[in-house]
Amino acid sequence: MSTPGTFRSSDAGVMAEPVEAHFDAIGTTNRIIATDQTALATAVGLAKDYLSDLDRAVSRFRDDSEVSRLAATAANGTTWCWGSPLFLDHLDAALRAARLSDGLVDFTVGSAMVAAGYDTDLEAVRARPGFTLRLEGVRVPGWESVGRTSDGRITTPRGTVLDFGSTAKARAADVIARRLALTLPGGFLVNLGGDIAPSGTAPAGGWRIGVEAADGSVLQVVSVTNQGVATSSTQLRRWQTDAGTVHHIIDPRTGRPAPLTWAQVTCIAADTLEANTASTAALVLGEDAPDWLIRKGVAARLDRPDGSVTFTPGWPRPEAERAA
Amino acid sequence: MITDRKNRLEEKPVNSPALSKARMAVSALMASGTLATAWLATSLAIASHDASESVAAPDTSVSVGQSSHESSEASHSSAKKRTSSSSTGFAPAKQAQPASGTTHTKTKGS
Repeated sequence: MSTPGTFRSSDAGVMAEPVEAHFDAIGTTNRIIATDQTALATAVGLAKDYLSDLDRAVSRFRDDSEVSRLAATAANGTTWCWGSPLFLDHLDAALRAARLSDGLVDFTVGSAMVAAGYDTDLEAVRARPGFTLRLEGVRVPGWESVGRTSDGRITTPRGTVLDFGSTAKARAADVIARRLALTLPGGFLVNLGGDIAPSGTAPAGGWRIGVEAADGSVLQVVSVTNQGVATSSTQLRRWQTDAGTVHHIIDPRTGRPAPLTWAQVTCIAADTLEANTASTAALVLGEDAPDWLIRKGVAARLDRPDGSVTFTPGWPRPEAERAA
Repeated sequence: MITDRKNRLEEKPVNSPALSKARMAVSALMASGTLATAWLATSLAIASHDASESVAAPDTSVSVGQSSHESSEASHSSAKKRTSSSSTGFAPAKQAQPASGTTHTKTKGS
């Protein structure tokens, strides 16, 4: 089994408080918080094993992943493969996100992402000098062009590069949280790079989640018990090109990075996949995001680069604002 | 009398408000009946399709190959079928509460 990461109490000196471990995987920092200290090591091991398998299935940045092998053959024409159960589960999650978002969260943006320069780990992308943006003529095939039969056969059109960056962490958080609750005692909070899934019995008063800004400050604290929480940002995964700074949220309608209307959007939904789908779609939509979120019934906090904030119905207003 | 009766027979079907309402009601009933039939057929198709999709995928290693036109078409039609039969709404979620103090964890952009 994998070795657990660094342990610490979430609130030093208070024994009743949950305990936490964190570790790096799938290109981000991940945290497991448990209400029962005896369950934490096993929980971390389970999460690490799942994420290791996930990396082999859907990473764009390793040649031996299913996604990379499919993309390599798709370069020569329409292609197909048999997906592993894990790959199929994440493909189904991505299909669900595409439907929920009216196609705004589209997992066929991989080739557009590559054209924008995001073709390897972010640190390597940032270290690369003078990347030339090649967005002219970039076309997103569209999620409806991908076939998936009930027996696990996946078909993609020529030139398709799948990218599960908008759904994989969220889906993984949901799956890991559910597995932990089914196999271990107590309650859990699974935080994969900011995509958060609770499971089991929450502590008294619920799980307190801080909404963190790009500079690390906490904008607001909210309490959840069984909802998924996710934040999407245009401020963090950014890099320099010959045409200026770009970020990783691609608008599938244009094949180009989404507008910088919002610095970040945080959503609360029935599960983490839905929360992250809504927050990503909101960034793509720009000024149309609040109306769209309201129509979809999603509680959200939308922060502009200038610090102003918009809330949709159902989002808990900050305590300072409530007092005023 | 005969003329009167004839007039009544000729005029009432055209001008009677009561009959117009009755016609509209019948038309509405027929339309809703058609819709109900279509809905029932669609529901049965969806139930059948969902049942077929719940079959577990085989635990196979991945093989990648170029697709024939036929198999490509079959897969694409499958995708379209899934699209038309799947829910497109966000599930209702319990409302979060305002809180303060120390946090258990933080959500941040990714």
